[in-house]
Amino acid sequence: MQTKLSIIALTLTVALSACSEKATDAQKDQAHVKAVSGSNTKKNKDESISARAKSIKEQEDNAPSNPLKNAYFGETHMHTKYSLDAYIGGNRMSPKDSLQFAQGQEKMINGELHKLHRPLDFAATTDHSEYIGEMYTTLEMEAVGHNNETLKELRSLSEYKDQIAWFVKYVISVNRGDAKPSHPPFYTGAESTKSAWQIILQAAKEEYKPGVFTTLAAFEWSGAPKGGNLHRNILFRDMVVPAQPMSYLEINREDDLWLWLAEQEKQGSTVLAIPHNSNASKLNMFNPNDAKGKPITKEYAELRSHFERTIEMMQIKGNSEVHRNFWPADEFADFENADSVADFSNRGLDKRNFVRWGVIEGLKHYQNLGVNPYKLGFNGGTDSHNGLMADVAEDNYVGGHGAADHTPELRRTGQVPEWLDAIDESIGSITGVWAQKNTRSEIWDAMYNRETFATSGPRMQIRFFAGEHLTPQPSDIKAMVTEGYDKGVPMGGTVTGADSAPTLTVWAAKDTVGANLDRIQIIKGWVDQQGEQHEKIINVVWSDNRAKDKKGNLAQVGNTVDLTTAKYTNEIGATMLMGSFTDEEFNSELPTLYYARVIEIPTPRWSTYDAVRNNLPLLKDVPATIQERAWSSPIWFMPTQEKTH
Amino acid sequence: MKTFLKEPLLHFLLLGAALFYFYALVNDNQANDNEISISAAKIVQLKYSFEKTRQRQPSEEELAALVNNYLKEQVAYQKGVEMGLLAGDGIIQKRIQQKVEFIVEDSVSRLEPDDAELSGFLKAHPDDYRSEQFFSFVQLYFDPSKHRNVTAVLTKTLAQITALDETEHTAVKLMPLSDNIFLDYQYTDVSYAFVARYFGSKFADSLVKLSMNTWQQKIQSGYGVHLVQLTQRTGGEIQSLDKVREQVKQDWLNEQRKLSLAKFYQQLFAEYNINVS
Repeated sequence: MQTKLSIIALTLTVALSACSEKATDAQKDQAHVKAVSGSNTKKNKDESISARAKSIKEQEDNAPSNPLKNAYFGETHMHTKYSLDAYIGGNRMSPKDSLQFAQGQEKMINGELHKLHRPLDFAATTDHSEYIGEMYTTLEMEAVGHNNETLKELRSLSEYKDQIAWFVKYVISVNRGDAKPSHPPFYTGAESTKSAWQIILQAAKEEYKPGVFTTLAAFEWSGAPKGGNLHRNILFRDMVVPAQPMSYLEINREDDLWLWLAEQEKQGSTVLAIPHNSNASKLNMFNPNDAKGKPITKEYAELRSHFERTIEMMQIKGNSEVHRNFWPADEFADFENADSVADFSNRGLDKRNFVRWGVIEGLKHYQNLGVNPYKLGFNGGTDSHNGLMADVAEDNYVGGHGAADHTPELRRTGQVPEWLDAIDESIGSITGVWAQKNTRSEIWDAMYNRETFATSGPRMQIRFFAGEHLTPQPSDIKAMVTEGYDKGVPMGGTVTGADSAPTLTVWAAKDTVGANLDRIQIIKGWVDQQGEQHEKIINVVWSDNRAKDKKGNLAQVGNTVDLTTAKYTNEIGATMLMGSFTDEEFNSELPTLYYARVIEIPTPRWSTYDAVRNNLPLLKDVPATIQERAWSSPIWFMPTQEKTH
Repeated sequence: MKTFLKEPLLHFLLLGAALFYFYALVNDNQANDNEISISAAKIVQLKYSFEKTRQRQPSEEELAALVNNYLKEQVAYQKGVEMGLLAGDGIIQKRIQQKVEFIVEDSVSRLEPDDAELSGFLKAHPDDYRSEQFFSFVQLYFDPSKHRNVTAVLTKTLAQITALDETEHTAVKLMPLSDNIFLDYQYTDVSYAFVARYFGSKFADSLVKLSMNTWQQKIQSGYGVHLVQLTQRTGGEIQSLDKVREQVKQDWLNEQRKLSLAKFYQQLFAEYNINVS
């Protein structure tokens, strides 16, 4: 037996050494990428890249257009096998695979075939830029250094714990403490990073179908000094992009990232940055001091608000809007709070890490600096490390972090290393944008203009306008939208110098295949002359003819979920809601913001579907049903003209 | 050599050989000689996860405890195996089944089907590769929560419409008869996906089967019920392989995965004597 095994092993060694590299020229990587893109171009009907570019332009021009805008839904935050941590967890989805998954194709995820219930309208892959070069070397047989012993070892590992051990030995151990992290020894140089970037871009180019499906070139800068999450997703408006993305290895703090983005603008790129997981930022996301510990300045606020137009409201690692501990008066604050995030990496729980606190705090900075550094609209994302795209239906959850949570057992008992308990994971949220067309420029511009909303999964639509002269109590949605654009501003907009009570008009429609709506609320936030934060929640319009009590509160809408079958009915709630709020308490001297929140009737949480399907008891530490929701971007009322933007 | 290296069978054999080889190594170390070892890398990992949760280095005692706990886990596992505790553990069995299936499925993912195989697959599943359908129609929306008897309202409205001259069938004339919604009265040449997106898939499925050029009652959408008149339906023809090659290939591969698993189980069922009592 021993002899037999040795012979097999010998064969194995001979076979593998046959493909070891002969050329050590770094250009080999680039030649390979050219060959790949060359053959892909040939597969297109167009004769050349320029012909395809021309046809793309024509398709963009001819894409169906709606002057009153449509709601398009997409993903702006996820990882393919080009993210090292995702690969370690078992992700084998290429950027192209993921973009095809987004369009409804069935793919292998953790060994099981899986697909979306419905295709998306747009998507961006956002791989961690830190190690995409190493991943290129690991994944591409033609790459220089592909047969490095350490990488061979990585590819041969099939056990999650061995892969994690490998990751710790070769990557984490060279990246300890607060020092700038560095590349592991098997990194072969910038050429490999450029090659990986080209493969990511190539997928975005090939899957772009103007009018039907939009792809955006993007990556994630994954800075986390002292374990505080400062990650940003960088999204480009077109294919004018740098030769390689920047990472935490080259740029250690967010302010340097903005300076680099400004440099890219000079080179012709059009780009924005989306922060996420402020809930895990250890007070760094909305820090009154800059990276060097000095109070932020007007220049800081200008640079930040120029590039950071929206923030990711919620994702697999929790909802960042509010937390029930700090917002006891908000009856809907207890929603995917992901408490265990606070238990890892000494994060702790603090009100100042949450988005509602942050956007209102921005008004205080505006009072002091003349510019609001946190003028952020809201968008969604999942941060899936499985190559999934906005797979946000509670009944379609297969985990978010590869081998850490890919079985019902692990989702009930496991942990996402360094992040949270698996039971606390939400399924993530989805971005909605209001755009005239489904093209790169229109989708990107909507994000830049903050005409965006986030939902915790269902494809609800929400319209929100504000102005001093809007007609209260709208009854016709098209008239409301037309008037909103003519006489007011849409979500994400700013009204400057208003001196009378503003009227806010709001409308929402349920997901066509989802649950009914409970109510629409408007959240008002402002700061007084002393810089103190204030907020108020107003129930604007609701279902089932409920009456408000003296405090303005409504009775709960009810709950139709059968916990033994994980089914609900639409016997309660409304399919559409439309209404308005005129703020008679508005003080024209104080900077103020309003955002709308749509609440669905209760439906089963993913953990309830898991339990029912696998005949397991319901989990005690998480709710069995949730009220999904949508958040519109805020509308700002500013006493005087802001200095910029 | 290269094509040889791309042969899935070879990969499968090599993978199998590698697994057996490593298994033999591990076996030598642990079971045969009653030896349990801990590597330097494992100790680094233990230290690291401690540091990550506590934000400080473990003391010598703590590190010793970590190592001790790890070794306890290993010896307990080893003893448990010897005591036969693996047998009948549902979670472990399920996990092993997944691993075995993964090895079988992985051998399939490298297959490169030729055109004949793909054409055959396309012919066998024509409905999966029809071109998208396009519809032209007009519609009026009714919100069931706003009417005590929405069926009666639909019937009454339909009578009002048919009483009008066809030239008066316009958005301006007809929309006031219905309830307010963000959707349009008229849609021209819109795709199935478009209809499913704005009205829900139930409504889109109705259009696929709907009679042409007559007003139809009570067509359900995600928002309520509609009166619909379908005026045109195009598309839906079977497409050539060139147009859908990628998708056919993906589906073919998925099919092969299922087939190889089925075959694998067939072989296993033949290999083992299975008694159902």
